[in-house]
Amino acid sequence: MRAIRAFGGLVLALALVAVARPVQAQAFKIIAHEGVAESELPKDVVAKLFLKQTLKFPSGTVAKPVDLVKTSAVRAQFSTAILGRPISAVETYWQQQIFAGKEVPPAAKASDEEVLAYVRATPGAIGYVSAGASTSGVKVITVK
Amino acid sequence: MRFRPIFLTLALAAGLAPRGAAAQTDFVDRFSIHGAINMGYGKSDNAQAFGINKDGTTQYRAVVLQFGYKIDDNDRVVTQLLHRWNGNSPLNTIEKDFFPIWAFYEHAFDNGVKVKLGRAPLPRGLFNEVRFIGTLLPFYRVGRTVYGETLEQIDGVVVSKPWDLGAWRVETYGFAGGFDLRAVLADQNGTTVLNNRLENSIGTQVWINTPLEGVRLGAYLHSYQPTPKYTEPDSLRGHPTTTSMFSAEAVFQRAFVRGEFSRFQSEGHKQYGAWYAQVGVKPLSQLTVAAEYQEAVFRVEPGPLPPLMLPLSKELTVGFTWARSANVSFKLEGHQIRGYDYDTAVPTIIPPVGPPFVAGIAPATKTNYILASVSVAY
Repeated sequence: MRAIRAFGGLVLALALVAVARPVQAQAFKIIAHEGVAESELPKDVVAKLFLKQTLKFPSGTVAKPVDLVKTSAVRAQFSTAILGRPISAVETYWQQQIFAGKEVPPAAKASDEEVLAYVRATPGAIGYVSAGASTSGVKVITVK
Repeated sequence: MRFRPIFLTLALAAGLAPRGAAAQTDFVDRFSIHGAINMGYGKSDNAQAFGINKDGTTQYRAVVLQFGYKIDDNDRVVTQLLHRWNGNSPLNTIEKDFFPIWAFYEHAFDNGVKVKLGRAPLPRGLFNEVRFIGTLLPFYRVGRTVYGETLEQIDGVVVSKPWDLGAWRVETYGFAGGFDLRAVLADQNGTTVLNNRLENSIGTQVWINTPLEGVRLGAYLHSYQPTPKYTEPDSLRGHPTTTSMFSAEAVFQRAFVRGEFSRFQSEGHKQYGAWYAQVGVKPLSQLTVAAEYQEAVFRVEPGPLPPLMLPLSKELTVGFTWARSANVSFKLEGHQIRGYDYDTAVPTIIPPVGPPFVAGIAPATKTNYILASVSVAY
């Protein structure tokens, strides 16, 4: 019992010292294939789609997330703002998934253009591009 | 032919690779190769522990190669090959050079249920599935008293289903099949390498992910039946055994704490219990300082004498990890063991010489060892 209480106390202490990240002005837009029913999604749902913890949109469409490469500044912003962790932590998460035989990360594209091309062509696709990118032919998703 | 499975796999992959740019792009998207190397140098100051002796050893490594192919949105196949060598450990006598630690087909149903058929990672505790991936571990090895070098995979079926319950997330696993149990049993007469096949196994692992990001609790329960070798009479069949594990973990950006408790109990009254607790902080984003304490207790039945609980091992570990990136890390760790769980014979039981004929326990053997290692995952 004492051990459980000690563990709980340690968890609480660690939670209190955990660093809270300030929300930055979004430098990206979330986009999806035009056939996706949703126009807005809660942040946690977007995060779960990209981490493959949820495999479908709330409407039931199978999601096909696509990332930018890990050297992308836009991905760094997206990772912190939506996934709530830096790219290195997301990489560690994917290592755990891969080597536990559970999931593999979304495909990573080198540029906005490649993400846009993939999202336009792939039913159920969801991705993100820099805020200034043209979004013709895709749906822009508002994050609640 | 040491690396034959890899050559075969690569040759097969090359032969299957489609011609044409679009087809090749599709193939590349579907095919994945991942690998991990965990290798180090260890040296002890006394008894040999986990293959590490006073001479030191550079033959300390675990190498993993994983090949995956996504057949379609719901189906995939995964093979993972393992090579490991633990210094001078007696376990090396039953090691294969490279062998498929996993080879499974997975189907994902639309309701979130996933079914793995074949040789799949055994969902057991926090680290079982990733136990060879050094970049994911605070020390070279997962808590040895709890995990051992066994119960790593299961030949059979693994079914999983996640449940989103508001801010809580529950992951449930059920599995059935057979597996290999491997261990080194040491006493004052020498060491025995155990390599048993266990069948008729069934079990479950449940994870409760709390609303506090990084905090989760787990429970594992597994029963199985030892199978006699074909050269042995059926009367040597072992007793059915139940093993359980309870896990708790809190991982934050700058710190973590976790603990696990495991127990084995057979109908023949053999008992083994072990636990570990780990704590770590990251004073710098690349540096982790971690400490671990673990204990194991084993019920010994010295012949006609009354049984006694042997404090098999008490181990304290302190380690430093420098993570150059998520893919490369360097570790330096120091261990102190007090107990009887070594690769070589150490005094364990003191037989009684007169009434009331109660066996005694020999003084624990103390050993320190260091392990420096590098881990790569890609």
